[in-house]
Amino acid sequence: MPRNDKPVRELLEKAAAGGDAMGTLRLGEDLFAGWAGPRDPERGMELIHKAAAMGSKTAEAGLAARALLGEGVPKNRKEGLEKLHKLADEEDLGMAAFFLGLYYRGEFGPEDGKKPELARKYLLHAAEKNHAKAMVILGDLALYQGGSKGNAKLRLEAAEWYRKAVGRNSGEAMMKLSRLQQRDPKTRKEGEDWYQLLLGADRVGHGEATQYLGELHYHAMGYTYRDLDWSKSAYFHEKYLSDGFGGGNSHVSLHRLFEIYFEGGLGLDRDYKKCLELAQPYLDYCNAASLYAGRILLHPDSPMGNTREHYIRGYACLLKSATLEGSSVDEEVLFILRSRHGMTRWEIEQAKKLFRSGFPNASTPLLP
Amino acid sequence: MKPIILLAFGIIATWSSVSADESSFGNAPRNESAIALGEQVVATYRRDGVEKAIDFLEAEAPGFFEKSGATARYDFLAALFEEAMGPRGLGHEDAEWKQALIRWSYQYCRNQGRSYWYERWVTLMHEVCFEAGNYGEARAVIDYERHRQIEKGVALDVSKMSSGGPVDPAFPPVTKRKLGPNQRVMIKNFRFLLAESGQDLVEGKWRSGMEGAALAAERAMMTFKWHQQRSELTDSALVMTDVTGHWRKAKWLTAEGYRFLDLPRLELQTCRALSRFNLEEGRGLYDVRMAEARALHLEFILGTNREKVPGALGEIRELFLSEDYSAPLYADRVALMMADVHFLNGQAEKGWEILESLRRKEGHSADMRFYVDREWCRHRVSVGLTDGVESELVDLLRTAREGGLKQREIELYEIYARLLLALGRYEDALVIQRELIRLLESFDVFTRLPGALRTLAEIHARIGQRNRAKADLAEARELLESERMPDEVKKGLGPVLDAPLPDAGSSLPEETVLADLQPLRSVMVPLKGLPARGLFTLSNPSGGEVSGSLQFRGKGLGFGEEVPFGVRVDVAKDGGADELKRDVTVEAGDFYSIDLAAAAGTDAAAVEIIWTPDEGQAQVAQWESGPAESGVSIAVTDASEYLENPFYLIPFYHLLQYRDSFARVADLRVVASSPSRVELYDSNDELVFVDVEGDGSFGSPGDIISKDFNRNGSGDIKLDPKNQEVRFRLLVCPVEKPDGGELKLDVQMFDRGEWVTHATDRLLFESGEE
Repeated sequence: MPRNDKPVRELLEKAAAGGDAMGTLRLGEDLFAGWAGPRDPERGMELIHKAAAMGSKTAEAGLAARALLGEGVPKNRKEGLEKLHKLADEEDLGMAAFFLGLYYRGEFGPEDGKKPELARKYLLHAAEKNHAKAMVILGDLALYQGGSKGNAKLRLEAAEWYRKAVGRNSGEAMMKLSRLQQRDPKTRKEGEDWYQLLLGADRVGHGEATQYLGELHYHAMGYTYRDLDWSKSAYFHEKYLSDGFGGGNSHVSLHRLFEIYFEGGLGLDRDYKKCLELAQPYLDYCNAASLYAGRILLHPDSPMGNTREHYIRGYACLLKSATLEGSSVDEEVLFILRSRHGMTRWEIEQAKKLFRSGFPNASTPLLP
Repeated sequence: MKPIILLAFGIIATWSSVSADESSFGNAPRNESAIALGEQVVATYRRDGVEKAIDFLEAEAPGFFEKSGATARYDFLAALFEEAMGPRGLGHEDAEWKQALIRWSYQYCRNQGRSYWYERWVTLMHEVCFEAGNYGEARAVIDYERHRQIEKGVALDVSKMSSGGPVDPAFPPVTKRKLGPNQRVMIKNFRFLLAESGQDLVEGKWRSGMEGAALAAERAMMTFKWHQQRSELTDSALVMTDVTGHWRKAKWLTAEGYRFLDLPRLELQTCRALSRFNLEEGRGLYDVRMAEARALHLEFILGTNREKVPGALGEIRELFLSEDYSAPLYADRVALMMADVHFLNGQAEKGWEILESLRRKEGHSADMRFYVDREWCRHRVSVGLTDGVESELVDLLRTAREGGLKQREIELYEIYARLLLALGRYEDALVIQRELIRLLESFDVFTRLPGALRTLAEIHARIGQRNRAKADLAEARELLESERMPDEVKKGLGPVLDAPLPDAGSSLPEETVLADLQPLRSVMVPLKGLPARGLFTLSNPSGGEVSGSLQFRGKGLGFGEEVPFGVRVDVAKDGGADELKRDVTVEAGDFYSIDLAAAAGTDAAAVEIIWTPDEGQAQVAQWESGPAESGVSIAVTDASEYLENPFYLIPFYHLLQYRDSFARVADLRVVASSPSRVELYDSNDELVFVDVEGDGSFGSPGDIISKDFNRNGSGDIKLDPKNQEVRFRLLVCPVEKPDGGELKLDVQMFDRGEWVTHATDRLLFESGEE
């Protein structure tokens, strides 16, 4: 099912107003985290407490887990733990078992130490109760325990856990099963197709899968260039950025888009204008945006023209890129380009002046 | 670590594994229109030839690309690739067709940005230029791609990587290079690195070539081992095939490096490692067999396995002869080794039989023809059969220069000097041996220098200059004992240097020894704020020393700071004299430099230089400086007139002044008024470029661009902001005597999109001379 956040908040509001405990809890969680709409942690917590008061055991488990960290409720590890055990051990609640699994893996802080056997026990418990994330973690554990180092049995076990989670519509599981099957045909069952799984993960809104699809079509290890298509690569990377899943990895998609529009190839025509359009909003802080803007303005075949003014502005862009974190522009690149274009002392000075005045930036057009 | 608390809710959805309508990744069917268009290209070639087929491509392909998707585009270019390189394509029968297809595909992908396996085309295009002997163009292909990589931050520049000790302790100058901690590299980067290393090696840059090859070999091995342990991965077999090919190529390049440096034991060790490679079929098997053959050959040279080698080489040759496709070329190369073994074994007749048969054979590649003829000359000289060798060597030198392999000249100069020595033409031998040493120094082939100095000592001894010969030997010993000299050279050459020198020969020169003052006229316009400079040389090409006096006439003259092997004269100096004189002695084969400098701000100055030898006629040279030029920041500042010089290559010295406060380069080229070979060397006497026709472009076979710092396809020299001037030198050899007896050489710099002439040299031919 394709992801569509738009009507979610609206529907949840209706459910909560109608006195539905699950609807109240989900609205509370979304408001607390800022999913599918603006964040309102205070109202979020109110609704989570309300859901618990309405008899939602899942809401109780959530509050107990929060007590372990002191997130939205006072920190009380002892009480939180006891509550989770009660809900999991006595009332057979899958969500509580899942939190206990995480707790014994040490994911609620190191104070109480890790207990791998207990972690596995509670994750299995949660998985029995159809908790998709627990299934994914059990799959991951099978890989960590040796599946990723060639143990075929553990790889099959991992695949099986992911497969179960896929049945629960987990995008993460689709992505992980797909990656496993892509590299190891033995983990595929008849009729399964790793690529379709990946597309499925993208459809349900798993941003990592969307970005990976972009990378896959750019350069898939083990496949020939015939199988690649940069127009698809551009599509998925642009989707990844526009879906707002970017976060810490948006620079990967951005770099790739600059590269493929600048180089062209594999089903996508070179498009310098598009490259500059993409770069403009990121010129304040993205080294690649300044780098590619500079490369285009300094390119002898640039459709933007190649007067001395272009070279001066292009050189200023490179100067900016060199100052930004992670830039590949160093003295050698600057040396090559100013030498190649025979830039004079006056021109270099002009470029430096422009750069000192704040050029390039997100709000000033690269060309007058 | 603080987790985000996720409450997963029980959404149940069905997941359909595969929809029958959707294609999966990597299984798209071949595109029929692409295949049909590819067939039309081949049909046009069959019917109308290469040119029409390329015209057809130019006309039809852009439209096809415009309307096609990725797979169709790929399939069309793959069809061209198969036609050019595949076993069923016509490219392997017609080299011109193969080159035209690769060139078109490469240019199309590069210019239009529809770059299916673009990196693959880069290395293929490089190979095409390489095979055709267009080394300048091959370098331009490498440099273009290299610059792309530098801008993207994925370039592998071994010279900038930290060093992790020697690759082989027996040869410390070649060190292991380490990738940076965050350096992103892919297998394709190493394919390119190998192409670049091969290019470096043919240009004589053995250190960077061998270090690049060593890095590629190490990474190939590492990648191979990683995949070997992961047989369950679908792409491992592909990757392992790819990287073992890289490893073999890297080993070949390393062996070639050792061959260039004349280090047979290390070359043997490398060939043995390659020959042990377990391979049963494919083109890679040829490399393995060739490595086995070369290892056997080297073992024989080094005195081991002598009984086994001739038969084993014969078997390898037979194996090659029994195969198709390219194998005969390998068989001929093995035959050359067999000939050498017969000569070393005292069975000259068998050796001549093979060599003469190879010389008679038609259809050799230019490379093979060169090796066959060179081996013929080498063996003729070694057994004292000198008839016909000199003309053959001159032809070979011409071929080597046309082919653009400057480093290949080294072997020819070696054989030629030996020949001249055997013929008793000691003066000529001295000139040639000195040129050989200059070449060895230019390429830093330090391992071969002690041996070359020993030969020089022999020549001096033959001329009767025993003291000079002893000095040569002392220099050779000093080099031999240096730390970086490998043990195998020390052990091998020690006894050779200790052997007694020959007595003076009977055919000593009788003619008067003459020195030569050049240029005869030099005009210079300095940059504003910088001194006017003039560079002259008094060279002594003969085998005897020459003495005389140098006189300077002008205004405000004074001797400046002392310089080794030369004099500096300050001009227009307050309180200076109108005339200066100095007695000068120039050793055999040496030269004396004359450096004139007028202080910055001097409006105009003129100096007359008069060389009066103790015997023979006086020579006069003139220097003038004009008012300083303003408004420019860089200029080649002198223009000179030279008379034809009896050397093979005529030197022109230049000075380039600049005032920039940042590092940059100056693109240089020389345009000659009639066809001439032009070599340009920088201030360290390192080769910048060779332009075989002197037309200012570098696309002709034999052209070389050895230094192109800004990677724009033109040779250039670096301008260090710490200085304000840099010297460079041209070596010119007219292809034929120019009409009117005058050759003009425009020294041009690329300035804001245009080539601008900054100086013109004139070479005047004396009337009546050919």
